[in-house]
Amino acid sequence: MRDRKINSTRFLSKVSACAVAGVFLLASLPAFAQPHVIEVLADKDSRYKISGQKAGQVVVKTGETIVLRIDARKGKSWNRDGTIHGFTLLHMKSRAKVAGWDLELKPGVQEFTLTAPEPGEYEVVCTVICSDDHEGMRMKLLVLP
Amino acid sequence: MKTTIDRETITTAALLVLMLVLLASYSYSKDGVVTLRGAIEDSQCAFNVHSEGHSHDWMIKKGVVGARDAKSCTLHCVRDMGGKYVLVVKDEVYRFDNEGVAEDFAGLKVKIGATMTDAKTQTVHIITIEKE
Repeated sequence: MRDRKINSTRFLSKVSACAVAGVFLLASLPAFAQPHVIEVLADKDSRYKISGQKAGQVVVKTGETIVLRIDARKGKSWNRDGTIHGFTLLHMKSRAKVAGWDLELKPGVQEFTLTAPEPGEYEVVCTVICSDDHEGMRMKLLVLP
Repeated sequence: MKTTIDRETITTAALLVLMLVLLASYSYSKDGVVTLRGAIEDSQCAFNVHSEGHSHDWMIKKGVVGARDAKSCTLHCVRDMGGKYVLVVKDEVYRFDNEGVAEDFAGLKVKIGATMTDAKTQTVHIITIEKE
């Protein structure tokens, strides 16, 4: 009877240890990692805003999955197809576009799933003339190794 | 007599239809290349509702640095601000799937030989391009 109790306790300990190890293992695998959700307000005053941040800057890790949840609000001007802002990623120095990061925003909330590019400094720019201050609609994106 | 008149009518109608088809396909070659005449602009200025006549006037009037005329405005919007080269033909705007070819013609009036690659988004592939 006592042996049985010891065996069941050992068994339970092993199961618990395996479960804990499994959870850590799964969490460490990229496929099971939670995507980095970034909420951006593409505002009517031609500014990208991120809650809790004064200066519009985003820091991500290279290769990580990013879910961009963007709430776009119409400025004084827009495109004839209904696009009200753009969200295009450029290399800071060369101004070359980053493939897959050329988004057209319609009014309201929209989500985009993207992969963070190579490490470096980038700039997000608006590609729609959205107001008198359209040229100032920029945001820094820093990609860490 | 009546049958003869009918045949003549049918023949005349068929010839008219044939002429119309030939006329309609005048600008198309056998491999679907269409000739377009317009100006190479940037997508920001071309698509904007307040850019009257798809011009760069708004940007130039605003005194945006780097936008002094059609050419400099187009280059600024594409090279510095993430825009794309497009072709403006009166009220129509065509996108390119090989826009790099258009860079040397920024702000200029051009004649383009192109094939339609996506009619929904009015995207064409430039085969030939020359200054008008």
